[in-house]
Amino acid sequence: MIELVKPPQPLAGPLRFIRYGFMPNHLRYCGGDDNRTIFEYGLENRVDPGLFPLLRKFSGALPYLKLIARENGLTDPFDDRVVEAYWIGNALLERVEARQLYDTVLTRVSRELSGRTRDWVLSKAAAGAHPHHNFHVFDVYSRVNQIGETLYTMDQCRVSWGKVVAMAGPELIVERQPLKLIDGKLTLGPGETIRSLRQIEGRGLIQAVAPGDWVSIHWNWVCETLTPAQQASLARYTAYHLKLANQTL
Amino acid sequence: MCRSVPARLLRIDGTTGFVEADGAEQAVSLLAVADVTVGDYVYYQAGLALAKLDPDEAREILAILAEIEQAILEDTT
Repeated sequence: MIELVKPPQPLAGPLRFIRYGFMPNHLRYCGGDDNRTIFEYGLENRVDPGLFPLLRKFSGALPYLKLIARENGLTDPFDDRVVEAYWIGNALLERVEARQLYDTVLTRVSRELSGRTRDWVLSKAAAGAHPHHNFHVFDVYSRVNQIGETLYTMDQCRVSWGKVVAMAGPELIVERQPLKLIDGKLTLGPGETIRSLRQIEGRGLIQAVAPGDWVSIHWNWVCETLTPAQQASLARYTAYHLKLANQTL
Repeated sequence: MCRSVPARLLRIDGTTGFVEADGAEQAVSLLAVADVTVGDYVYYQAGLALAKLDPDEAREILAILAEIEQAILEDTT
């Protein structure tokens, strides 16, 4: 008897957002104090009106989601295509630059900004930068000199990708390229094998995964399996924004 | 959060400081910054304070971020 494998259902935007926002929220780096509730939503694949106020507490991501949506004629910032664009990257990004957000804001600020603050705004609005998560991870304020000390944090903050080598209970063994600082420039080093978490207390948000799959990783948490096209897109937007960041290092 | 932003230190416990962000208290390591006290502003990214900031500069940046949030609020109501 042939067992029919049901194809995976497309991940709804709010649920995809949870996949990426869960671990930094668990670590209390962003979002509100609602980690268990968010996790339960993700486990149950449930989207209801109670979820959105929790997602809107991710104040770092929301402006970019809204910008991507608006510039692409979409009304919902948690539309799956918008969420995918922000965390992974897709064609929606090509129609929008991060500077549009800051240009809008600057027109609202009537007072004169100090030179340093203007520098800060301009650094956030580097020409050509797209509103992709990895853009503002790599864009560390120019006054911060100890970039070497922040390398680990940046590497964890960025969304990265890896190829599953083996399953190891609540972890996956994954081959992944780490972020490196070589000759004063940010770059991705040779692939290395790491253990990445996919479950907490025996429960996780990612189910169907096998050796050979591409997965996305955020704060050493396996977010989702990636199609080859998604992996290529994430790699492309990462490389692009690394190049932009290196222009100011 | 994964982006780097300023925040005011609410309290300090050893080498860990606590700031308010996204409506919740968040811990930040102070190992990379020197001579900070409660009330100072630090520039931080995901749990690591990167630099001490001039208070006027920090307040100005926070005002910009507030403008962004306000713009979003107006856009959604």
